[in-house]
Amino acid sequence: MNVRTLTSELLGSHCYLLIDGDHCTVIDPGDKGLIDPVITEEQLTVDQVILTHEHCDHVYGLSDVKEKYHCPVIASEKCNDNLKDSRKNFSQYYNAFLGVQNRYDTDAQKEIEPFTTSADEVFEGEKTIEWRGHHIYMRETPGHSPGSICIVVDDELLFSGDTLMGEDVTETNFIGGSAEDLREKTMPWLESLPGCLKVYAGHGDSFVLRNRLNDKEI
Amino acid sequence: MTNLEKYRNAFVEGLGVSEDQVDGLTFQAVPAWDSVGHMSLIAALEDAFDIVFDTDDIVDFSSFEKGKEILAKYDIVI
Repeated sequence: MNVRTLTSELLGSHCYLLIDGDHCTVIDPGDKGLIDPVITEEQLTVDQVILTHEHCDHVYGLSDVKEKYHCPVIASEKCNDNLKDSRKNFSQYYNAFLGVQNRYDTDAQKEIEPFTTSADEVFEGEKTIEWRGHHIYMRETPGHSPGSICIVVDDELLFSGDTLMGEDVTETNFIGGSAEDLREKTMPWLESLPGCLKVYAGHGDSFVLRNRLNDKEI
Repeated sequence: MTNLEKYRNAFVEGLGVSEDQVDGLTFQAVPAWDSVGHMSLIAALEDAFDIVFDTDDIVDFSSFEKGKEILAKYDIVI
């Protein structure tokens, strides 16, 4: 299985394609038109989409993917609830967020319209699926947002969304975020995982789990 | 509850700051009021006063005092 990283114009969020033969699983279709060129060029079948959390920079392209590829979308129940609310998926505030940042220290970035969307298969706690011989384990990891999850593939790869970042401290002051949940519910689980997992985060470079946990503040 | 109390409560809830920090607070004066915390503050204010801010007003909302001027545009007198 190959992992292809596609980076969105929305805050540089990453979409990941897990490619096995001529099939793929999409994690976080963060922008419109982001995956189509790869899917077309490599003649892939999109089997499913998995969302790490509800924020718009990770799901802006979801409706297009659903419409074009007719594949199921898997997310936590809380993520799905928040996808249906443009304030809670942050799209209502995204342009203003850019405006506030631009006023002080960053360059202009792509703007979006507020939107709502939804998942098809939701879960609470944890969920495991088998996909083309691969073991995909999903677990709720609240903190960055109420609907956040992490995804472990074949006990080798960890897709952490914005729950665990390589360079940055995890933001917990978004609407519905919780530093207490991150500390009390999510970190103990992350610390229980094999340190050798390769982590693909929602933004930034990939890294080895043990290096990050030992390195600096989460 | 008066509008001023609702306004002050929104800062406490949205930013997670204490009540004695609220008066005269300005953007980035405390770590909690960064660009991310700003959006939580805006959401708390929208909930408190049942309004939806225009994008420009969200960007212009740079202090406790400036916010009072902006809310006046929505017919809310603090």
